[in-house]
Amino acid sequence: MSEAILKVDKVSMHFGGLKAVDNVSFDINQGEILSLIGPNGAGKTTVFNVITGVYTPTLGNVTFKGVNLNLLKPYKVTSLGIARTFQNIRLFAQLTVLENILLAMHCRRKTNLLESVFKLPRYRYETKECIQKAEELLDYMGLLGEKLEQAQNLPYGKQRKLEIARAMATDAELLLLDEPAAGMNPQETQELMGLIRQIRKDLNKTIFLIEHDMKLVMGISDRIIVFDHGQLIAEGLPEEIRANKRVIEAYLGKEVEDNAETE
Amino acid sequence: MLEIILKQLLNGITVGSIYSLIALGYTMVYGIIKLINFAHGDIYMVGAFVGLIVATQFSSNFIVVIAIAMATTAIIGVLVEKVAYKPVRNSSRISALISAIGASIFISNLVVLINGPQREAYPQIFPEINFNVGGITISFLQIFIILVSIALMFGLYYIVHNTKMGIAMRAVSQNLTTARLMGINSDKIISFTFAIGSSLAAAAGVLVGTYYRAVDPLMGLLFGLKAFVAAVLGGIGSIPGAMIGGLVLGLAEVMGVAFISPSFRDAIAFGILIFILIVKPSGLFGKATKEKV
Amino acid sequence: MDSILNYLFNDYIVQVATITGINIIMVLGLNLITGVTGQLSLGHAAFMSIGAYSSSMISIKLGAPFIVSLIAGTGFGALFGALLGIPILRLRGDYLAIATLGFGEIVRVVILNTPALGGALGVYGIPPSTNLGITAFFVVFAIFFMYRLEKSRHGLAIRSIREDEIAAEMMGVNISRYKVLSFTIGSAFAGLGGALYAHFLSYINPIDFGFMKSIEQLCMLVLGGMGSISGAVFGSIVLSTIPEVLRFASEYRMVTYGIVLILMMVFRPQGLFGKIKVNV
Repeated sequence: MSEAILKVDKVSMHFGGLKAVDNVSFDINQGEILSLIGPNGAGKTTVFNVITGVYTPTLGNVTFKGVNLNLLKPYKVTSLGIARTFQNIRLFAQLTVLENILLAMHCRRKTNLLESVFKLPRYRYETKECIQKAEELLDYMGLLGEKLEQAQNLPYGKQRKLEIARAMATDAELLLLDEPAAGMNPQETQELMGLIRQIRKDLNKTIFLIEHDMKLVMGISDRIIVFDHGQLIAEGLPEEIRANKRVIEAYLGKEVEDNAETE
Repeated sequence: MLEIILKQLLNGITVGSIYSLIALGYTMVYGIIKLINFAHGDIYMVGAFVGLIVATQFSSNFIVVIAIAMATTAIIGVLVEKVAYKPVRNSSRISALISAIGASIFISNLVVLINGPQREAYPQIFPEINFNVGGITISFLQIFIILVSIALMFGLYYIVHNTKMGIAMRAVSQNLTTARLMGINSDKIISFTFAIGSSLAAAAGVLVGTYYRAVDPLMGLLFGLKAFVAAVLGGIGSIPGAMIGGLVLGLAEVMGVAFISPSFRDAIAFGILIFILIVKPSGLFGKATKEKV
Repeated sequence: MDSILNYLFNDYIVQVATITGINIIMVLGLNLITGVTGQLSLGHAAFMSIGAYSSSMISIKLGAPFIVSLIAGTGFGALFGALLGIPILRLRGDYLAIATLGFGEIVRVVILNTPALGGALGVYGIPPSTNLGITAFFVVFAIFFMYRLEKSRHGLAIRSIREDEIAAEMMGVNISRYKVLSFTIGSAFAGLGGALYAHFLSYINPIDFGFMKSIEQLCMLVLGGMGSISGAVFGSIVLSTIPEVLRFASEYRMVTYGIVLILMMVFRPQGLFGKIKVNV
């Protein structure tokens, strides 16, 4: 097995009395597709927020390639090589598709304010290079035709794709995708599955995704981890997870008597 | 020295209770539609002017003056909401705020247009009685202002907690959409909130007129903004917060004037504001909210 | 240059044109803060007053050349913009608006009570060095600067903050830095405008820089269209010249401002020339 790129070590995230994430540990390995599943309110998005620096974990550590992320602000985390998408699409609605991508390259660019306002040679060169890279990426994602459209005018499925493209444009090694198939029809989901596989293969990315669509999860994941009530209740290959009793209980509930006994 | 402190304390509570009355309007409206009702200070000014007209033209009975001022101003408050706020309720926050600023400028300058920009003397609708307690002169008017304010606040508290309207108001402030789905007529509740808030501001206007014996068309801006500071200080959206915030601000101002310098009086409130916003934006009694990612 | 302009226009028109130009410079600064970055400022006039007072003092007390005073006014505007920008970064939307308003009032009260700055009497005898030519030069510079800034990678970062602050930060934008930058540059232009203004009228008074001045500048921006450079320019021209044309109706001016703000927000929140919706 290849080495871990991200380590989540005994992380807890408490909000007042609520333990949204409770003493959770797992690794993400270089180059794998890892899925995080669990019922609503299990703390899945909170894990994303802890990793990306929105929250500082109450306990425990998150390390990315040996760097502790706990106290880093989100933009620093991004510049280290982690980028995400959002459960509810958060594109820059009134910017063009191309601008959305260019913005994501921001943290890799070096020209200062005066160079850019007065369009000095270094800035022109840098911009030309970025636009070329952005157009290549859009072409790869099948969005090049819409590059001058405002993001808000894209159809829903393409907005989802643009979000993934934008995350990729930050040059991230690790992509966190928060329910990328939400709201898509089966055919679009199928396409998305192919795309995610392709991205991993072509661009050598590591992908960590939250998803409710079990067909997608089972079909695409190398490994799956399962959350319930903020705790990690299972970890394993897709077929193992499918047969896991605790996972089935978490999703479908226990038998009534069973419940009475354990509580 | 003790005498001065006690005297200033009383002054502070008097002004503070008036701030509280106005702050309540800001806080209730903010609680329901998340809008800083910029025109609220001008509503307070209109209340003072209605009181002035009633007192000089019809009756100088305090109860009559304050009742008519409150009723008239409640209607004006509801009108302002219908004209300037309702159409922008679903627009961005910045649009709504700018519309509110527009309403404020319109009202104050309309009064300037009708009355002229000058100060108007306020008739004495309350007899000037002073009495002596242990060598300290206490103006009965001050005590009266404080008592009226407290009575109005208790009235508000009763309405909010014990009437159907009040319960609906609290429901709408928790979640407007859900409240609407539960069959609450949110437009009616919003109007009701503006009516109550505006009438409290009108009461404050009459009290201020009686206290300082003068009113002017631009008095609403600064005094209103300071009352808003009181609402922020107490925690915007919180009714007890507005009451306490007003008192704290009144005392801070009076003490600042007495012990630092009178010329910086107007800067004290805004200094407190910026301090509070930086240190604890949710105020003394407010709940902190963070945007969900 | 200036004499040719003077020959072409009479004094009155030159005067109105100069004031219009000064307003354009300041409103472009406000546009950067409010229209491009999405941070509603209700205290822009405070930075104008800082520019006006600092440049005047340097002209009068030190006898500095005009250009030095202008640079100083701009610099002080920028400095105070940064000083205010840093602590209020965390505030959003209406809280930020109120904090800027509070700051504006504090600046006014402090100037009013500082004898060295003339207090309530104001400052007299500022050398009247500003003319239409100089103003026009700075208007062109401001338009050029703002246009290039907005189109640049830094401008893109600033616009992304307006669109979605959280997403911007997640995509690697140091939002604190860019907000302070926006406040600093925007206030610098207000300071420059204030310096030009003081050296044009040669007399300044704290009353000229109150809350109503901030509102007037906001009106110009809102009318033209937030987030639009052409909007900021046209809005400034319209609201600087119309009151001059309608001088006989000057008492209706403020009432009209109020109505304009409400009507614009209800029927055309993006302004006459704007395309952008500013969501805060």
